[in-house]
Amino acid sequence: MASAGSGDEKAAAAAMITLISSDNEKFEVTEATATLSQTIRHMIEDGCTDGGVPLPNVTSKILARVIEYCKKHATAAAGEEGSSSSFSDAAFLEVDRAFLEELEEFDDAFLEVDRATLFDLILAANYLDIKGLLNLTCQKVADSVKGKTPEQIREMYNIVNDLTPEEEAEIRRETQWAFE
Amino acid sequence: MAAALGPEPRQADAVAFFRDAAPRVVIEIVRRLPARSVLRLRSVCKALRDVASYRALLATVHLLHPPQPLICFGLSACPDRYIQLRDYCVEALDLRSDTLRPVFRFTDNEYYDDIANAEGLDAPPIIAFGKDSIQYGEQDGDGGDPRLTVHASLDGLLLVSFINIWYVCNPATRQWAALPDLSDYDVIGLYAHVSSGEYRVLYHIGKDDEEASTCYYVLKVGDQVARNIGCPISPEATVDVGLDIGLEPASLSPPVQLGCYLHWPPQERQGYHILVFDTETEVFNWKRAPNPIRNGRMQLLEMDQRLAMSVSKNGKPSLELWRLDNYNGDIWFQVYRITIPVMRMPDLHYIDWFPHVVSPQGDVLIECENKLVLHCDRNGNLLQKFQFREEAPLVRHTLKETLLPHAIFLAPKPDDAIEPPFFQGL
Repeated sequence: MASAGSGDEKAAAAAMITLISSDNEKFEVTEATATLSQTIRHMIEDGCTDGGVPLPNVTSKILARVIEYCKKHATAAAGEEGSSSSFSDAAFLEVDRAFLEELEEFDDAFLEVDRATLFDLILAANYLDIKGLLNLTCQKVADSVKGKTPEQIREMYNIVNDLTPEEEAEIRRETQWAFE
Repeated sequence: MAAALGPEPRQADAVAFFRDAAPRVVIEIVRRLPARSVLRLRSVCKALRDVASYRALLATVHLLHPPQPLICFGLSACPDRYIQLRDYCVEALDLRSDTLRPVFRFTDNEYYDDIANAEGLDAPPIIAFGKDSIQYGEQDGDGGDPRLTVHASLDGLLLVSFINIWYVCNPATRQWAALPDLSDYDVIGLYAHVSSGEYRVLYHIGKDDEEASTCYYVLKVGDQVARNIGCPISPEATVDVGLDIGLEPASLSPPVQLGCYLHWPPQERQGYHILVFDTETEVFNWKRAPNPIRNGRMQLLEMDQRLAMSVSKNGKPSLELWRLDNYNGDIWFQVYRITIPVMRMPDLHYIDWFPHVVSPQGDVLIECENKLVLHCDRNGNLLQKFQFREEAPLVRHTLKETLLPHAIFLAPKPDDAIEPPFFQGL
């Protein structure tokens, strides 16, 4: 600590990470936001984030959405740490509950995307290893399939049925009840 | 979507997504789907058929499924009218969401007693299936209502019987294999014979007769005739506490299989030792249970591929979960000591209740005399209440759902095989 001023500046600068999308767009995010991604957390730990983190699998459009998610949830994580102390009075719990509700609303709104974007978000969440985002998006896909007939699933996802009638009949015969 | 009118949304290529996505992604989606949806995915297109039938994926999803306690109960099908029909139910409890999911449900004759018989009352017609297949009448033992009995749960498969019809079935796919009638025997376990891949049932003849000696039988699922293995004790056994006395039936004291060994919870009949069956050499041996447990009730569960044991007493607020950390050295470790705050739970006042630990996470279920089942976490917080109406429910097994294919269901059915009625009410 030779010079307090420059030390603070360095600390502040070090706490920012630059993410670079596949189409070469740069995003500045705080370390707290970036480390929701286990992949980036490990890169920071290994000290290989100088000059930015290239993410060749993620487009700027998807990366912007992912960062939006991480920012919101990083604040949530910080809030949880704050409230996990010995405070347990009703007012505090009320604040907690309001915050969780807000987070849920955010997640619901966040998932209002077309299916192609949803798939891209899943792939990005997996690549960046963001558990919460992966759970959220996979649940959305699962919910879209639940209770649907094969015909409805084909229609929803524009899938052409390339099974021969014999193959399809065989599949249905094995577990007929599932199609009733 | 920047444009004001919104461009045509990009076509989502689901086929390419499922075909190319990392296994983890597909696993995360499939594990969130009910069995029916996964089975339906198979008939959408070739790519999805291959994804939804892929063995490695199904095996992983099976391992990720949390074990769900099975709750067995019956209730009158028409409570407001005098019609003697009964619903026989088994439901699986998801401990994370506290929701019940029906596994079996069907309607049949309420067992009508001798008095009704003597008065010449006719039994109502059975709607569900041919009466010829079920031999009602003389109930041996304590009589009473017939029950849909779950004898064993292993690898997602259930060994289940209703009066004289017996099956191994997979409730997730509703596939089944019929077994011979085993009502006259004490069924003590279902196990996987690791080296052959077979599933086998272990039972013994009841020791009603002082003179008769107990014999153990092994029945391969798919066979009609069992093999008598006598009463074989391992040459390495240092004690014989009571193999000749036999065991409580698996429907009440289910064993747990780890590797090639099948383990039963300590029973008075076995001097409170853990009886162990080596499924390859077919001999019995005993293991030591953790010390301070006499007079308690013990149930076994699997925890991180190790043996764990719930130890509890009727009406006692403290219970424990132990884990066998050193198998060969018989060294047990107390994982949780759980206290139920009885004073704060009016439901437990002035009645009989029985708590037990049902998951490696320390979830506790309390079966109450008044047909209430309470779910608490390991800190004793009450999470949910389930009120059953007529019969006190029985909670002894846990189910870990599977969609893996099993050879036992592919064998051709014998001509006289009766389709199990258990799914008719689902």
